[in-house]
Amino acid sequence: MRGHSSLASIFICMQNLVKSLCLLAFSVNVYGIDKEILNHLSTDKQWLKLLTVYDGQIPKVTDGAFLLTAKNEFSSLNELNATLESFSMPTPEDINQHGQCRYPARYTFLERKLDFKKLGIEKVVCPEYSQFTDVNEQNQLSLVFATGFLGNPASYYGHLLLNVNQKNKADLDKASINFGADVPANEGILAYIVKGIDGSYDSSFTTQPFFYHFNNYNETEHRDLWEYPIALAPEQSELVLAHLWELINVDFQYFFFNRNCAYFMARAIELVLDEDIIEDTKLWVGPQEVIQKLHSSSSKGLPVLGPVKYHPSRQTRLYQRFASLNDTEKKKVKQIALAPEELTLQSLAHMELDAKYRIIDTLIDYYQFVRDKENKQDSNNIYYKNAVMLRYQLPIAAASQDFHSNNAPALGRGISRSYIGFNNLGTIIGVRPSYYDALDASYGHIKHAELKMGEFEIIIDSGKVNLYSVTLLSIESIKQNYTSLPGDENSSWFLTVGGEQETIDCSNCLMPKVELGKGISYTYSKSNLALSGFATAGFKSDNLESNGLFAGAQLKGSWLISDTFSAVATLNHKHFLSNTASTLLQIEQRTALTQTADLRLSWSHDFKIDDSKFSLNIGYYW
Amino acid sequence: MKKNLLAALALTFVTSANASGPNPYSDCGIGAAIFPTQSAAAASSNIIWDLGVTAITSATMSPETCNAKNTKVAKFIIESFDSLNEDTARGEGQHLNTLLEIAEVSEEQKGDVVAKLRANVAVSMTEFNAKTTKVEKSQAYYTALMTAI
Repeated sequence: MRGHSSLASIFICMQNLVKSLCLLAFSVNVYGIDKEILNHLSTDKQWLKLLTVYDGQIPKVTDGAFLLTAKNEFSSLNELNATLESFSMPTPEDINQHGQCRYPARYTFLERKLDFKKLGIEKVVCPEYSQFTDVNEQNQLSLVFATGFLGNPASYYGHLLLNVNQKNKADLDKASINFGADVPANEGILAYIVKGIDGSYDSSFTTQPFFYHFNNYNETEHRDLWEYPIALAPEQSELVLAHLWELINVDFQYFFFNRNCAYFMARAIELVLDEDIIEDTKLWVGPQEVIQKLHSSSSKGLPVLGPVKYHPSRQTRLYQRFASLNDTEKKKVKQIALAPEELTLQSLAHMELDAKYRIIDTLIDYYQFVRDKENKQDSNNIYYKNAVMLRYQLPIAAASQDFHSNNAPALGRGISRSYIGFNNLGTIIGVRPSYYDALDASYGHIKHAELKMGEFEIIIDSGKVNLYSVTLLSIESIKQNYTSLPGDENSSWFLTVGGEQETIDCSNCLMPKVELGKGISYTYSKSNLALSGFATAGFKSDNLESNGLFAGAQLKGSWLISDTFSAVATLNHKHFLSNTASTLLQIEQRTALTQTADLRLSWSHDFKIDDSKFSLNIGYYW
Repeated sequence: MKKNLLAALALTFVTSANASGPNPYSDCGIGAAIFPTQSAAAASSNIIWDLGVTAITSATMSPETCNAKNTKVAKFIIESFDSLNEDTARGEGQHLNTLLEIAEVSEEQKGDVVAKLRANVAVSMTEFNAKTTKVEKSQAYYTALMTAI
């Protein structure tokens, strides 16, 4: 028996030796596939993207579990061979862990390129994957853009989600794929910012039903959502979805500026696009940029994004409902907001039923918007409940309001602006990588607000080139208080960090500046005009002495005259600890020349030195 | 007389939510797992709340209480309570439609279920006050729904 076993071992060894020699002799792998075909497949752009190799040879995943080959042995060819091997392995106890179930996109890609039947690779049924991807034939995926939120640094630029349009599920219950940094609980804000920028966080795709995100964005953070169906051919959508399935809970290194949700969402979608929409060399990738690029992309001759569906936030709903009331109804809403004991059906008895619906629906939105849910002492919680109860007492009727917005993020200009111009002192060349200011806030932005990062200007003055100004960060949050109802907050704030000239008559006196302002804003003329006042404090000096500390005040008016014209006037007074003071008036006007170009004129007057400066620049958005 | 009847109904909903009867929030550990402090955790529940993992067994629950569908219904109610309640008051809306889909209410049943649900919730809301927690409100809504189906 033992002798028989030895003979069998020798036979197997010889068989393996012959097989190896054959592989060498005929340049085929273990499945008998021509080596040239494998080599060709392993360098296919789509195969590389499936391995998250977007540029160069290194995969973007940092999670060792995603790759089947060890890190030091990784090559796209080795990964291809290992993938094929995993596809023919016996099924494990948990069938969902089989290679075909873990890598359905790789399976789909290779099955389209190779004859699996001939290779003896039998299809495995993957229950979890099948359930997840039981989607509608058309528009299997939707891309959701959440407008920016100035209350959280990670959300300044908006956010992207990918919804999976699963069969037999209501819209809010469909799976939603999110990409985000894995931030530890209770992380401090400073650590959060620093680690987000320097790449210290892992990040991953995760999935949850859409309603979690919907409620968080729409109700808690008051962010409008824009949902674009991705109109790819079914086989293309299948591949994207399969790839996303592979990537769920797989770690990537997160960088706030260019390895963020926008980057990885775009990479996943461009798997099936003819042209890439993102470059690895870009220092900044923003969610709106991805929407805009996909909006102008096509696949198989058809637009990638379909008609948008708008999900207004609670704040937007309140403002639009309030705006649609007639004067009598507005008066009644204000009357009740000031005297909530009048929140009864008796006080509305003289009104038509439709008016009752409109008033009560507006009050529901109003109380929900202003109430502090965590504060049991806040009377608005009871008023909110009373408003909802009144609605129960009326006959069934859907809310009649038709919400709309022209502020679709796919439209409008690029997020970066370069400009050239001149002022009294010389020629100015500037770059603002992102994002918008009060003059050009438009599609997908917050009216009258400002969000700038990394802007710098150089000046060429008498043949000398100097750094003229730097804006590392500038945020201005303007609350609109459109209804003027109690609690519809108008508190506003701003923060700027960077450097500017000591006085307006100098071109080589750049000094660091930090300024913080806290104040109130009022909006008029359908929110197109905002007037703000701030108490300010900060530091401006070229040395670290306390003389650079200042306190002051700022008045600002921002007027969006039309889609083409806008203007901002600012009066800023600073009183320094050194007992000196400065007062600067600045008026700036913008004219949109085209969607991608504008012209800006500005005039400044420094009352301390009694000098004025005029400047003009032409900008290009990209 | 009508007022007394309403009060009795309201009491039934609130007590059934807090004590006996199918209650996925206490029996399946949903409320405790999601809102351990009943306050700040609500804001982060979007991140930590994973379908299925919060369900635990209890000696007092009925076999049906913690089944996948009921747990999902209960989770949707607590996560979307305000919007859902507003939709119910109007008798229409995407949150209400989603709930009915999750609860597997057929198109033919919808009108009848919504009418009953609306009446039940209106009654239970009369008992809510400033101290009523989100879990208690959700329990009352859940009971109202189960009674309506």
